[in-house]
Amino acid sequence: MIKIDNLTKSIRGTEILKDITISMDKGRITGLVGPNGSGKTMLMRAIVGLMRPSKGSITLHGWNPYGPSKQEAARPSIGMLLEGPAFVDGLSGLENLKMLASIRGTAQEDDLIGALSSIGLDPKDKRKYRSYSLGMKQRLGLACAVMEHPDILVVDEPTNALDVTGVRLAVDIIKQEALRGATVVVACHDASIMSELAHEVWHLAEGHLEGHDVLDREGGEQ
Amino acid sequence: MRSFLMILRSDIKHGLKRVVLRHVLVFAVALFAGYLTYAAVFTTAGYIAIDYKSTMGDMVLCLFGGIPVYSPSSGKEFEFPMVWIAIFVAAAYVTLDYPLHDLQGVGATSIVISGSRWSWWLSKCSWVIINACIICVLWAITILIFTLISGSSFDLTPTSEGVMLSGLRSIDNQPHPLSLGMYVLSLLPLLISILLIQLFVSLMAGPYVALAATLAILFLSTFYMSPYLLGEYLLAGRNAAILTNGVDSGIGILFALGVSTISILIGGMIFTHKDILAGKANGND
Repeated sequence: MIKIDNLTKSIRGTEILKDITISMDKGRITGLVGPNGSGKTMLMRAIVGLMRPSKGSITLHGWNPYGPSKQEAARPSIGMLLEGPAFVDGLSGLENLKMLASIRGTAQEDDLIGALSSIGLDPKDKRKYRSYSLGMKQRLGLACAVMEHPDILVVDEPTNALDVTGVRLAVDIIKQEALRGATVVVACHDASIMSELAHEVWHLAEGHLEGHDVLDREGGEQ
Repeated sequence: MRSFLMILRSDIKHGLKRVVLRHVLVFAVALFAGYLTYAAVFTTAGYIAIDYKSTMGDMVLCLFGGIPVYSPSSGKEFEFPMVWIAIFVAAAYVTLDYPLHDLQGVGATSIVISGSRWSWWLSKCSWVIINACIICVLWAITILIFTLISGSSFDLTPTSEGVMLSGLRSIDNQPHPLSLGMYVLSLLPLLISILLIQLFVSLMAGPYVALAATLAILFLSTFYMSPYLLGEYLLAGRNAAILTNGVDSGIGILFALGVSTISILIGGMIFTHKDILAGKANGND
């Protein structure tokens, strides 16, 4: 479960996130919607540990991503796709995943091949990342996010640059991860995709929460 | 530990590949700079017809001599040590932007997967140290080349003629120059300390500010004679081996080790609190 309590973030004197309190349950997909600049991506960066809150706290399955390193044993695995995915230009898709998976060493080659195949990328494709189209880059970003079957999955605009088939595959993968038990956070501008994916949706505007919809769908630990 | 080693492995494999051409540039600048001073030294020696038996120490002075002590109050015009600055700026350029480029790209994913900013930071510090080692090897090869070409003896003690011909004559010169062995040994730790400061500044304020900071350290060191300036110890012409009141390379090594340790520890602590926001990079070479 992801628990965000009174989270406020200021950058150079401007509050970009204001007093946000949300609880996100295991096995459920939580959607974040709002106009550009509403703070969705910043909130996601804060959740994955890339942006320290000015006030308030974040815990992921009880673990504080900004706490002391001695808590490492309790750390859940995190998969993320934020804005434009980034990889090593001179490596193929599989080689990129192998390099990143080696950091924790929990995902096996079969997991990586499975992740690539599930999003419609050929694991045997030797082309380098630099020659990938935008859609292929996005698919690789998604494969990377789910390759370790993480406890927490945070995806920002997962269907960006994807064709119809890619969108379908992306939606299916995200649903499967939630069914497996991951806590999933998704930001997406496409209302139809959000309504298909999310169990609940939080509306953000100018850095604060404006509203909350619970959609009629089963799943997760309440 | 595993995440540090795996990130370092990736940095060595991909980060070094990215800066190969910059290492070539370091070598080319050292060769060119060495040639300029070497040619000037031997042309002058021939012109004044002195019996000049050069040593490897003279070749070190050709490359790293810099300028004699400058006194702003003397009224003399400051002679910018272009050769010396060019050698170190080329070295600083090698590690200038890869860490930031990585952080704004695949490095952010590495940090999230590993859950440890320290692993990423220590890996980048290690990558900088590895690059400093490569640069010093290239400099050593350059000195060796000029030693062989000039038929100099493999002695790191410069000759009095070498000191004079390198433009480093001063009233404070040692009557008989001492060995530059300690100076040569100090080059690596001193270069590491400057590159680690640059690494920290580049992550906090960007590569251009970092390069400006490095230039400032180097320039101030040539302008003022102060044992509190790191660059002072990089000027072979101001070493105690050349000047009676010159800087001691042993102290320079300790100074560099202290600065490096502080840069790694304080830099790491500050980096763990840094916000990692989106950058321009969307792919790492």
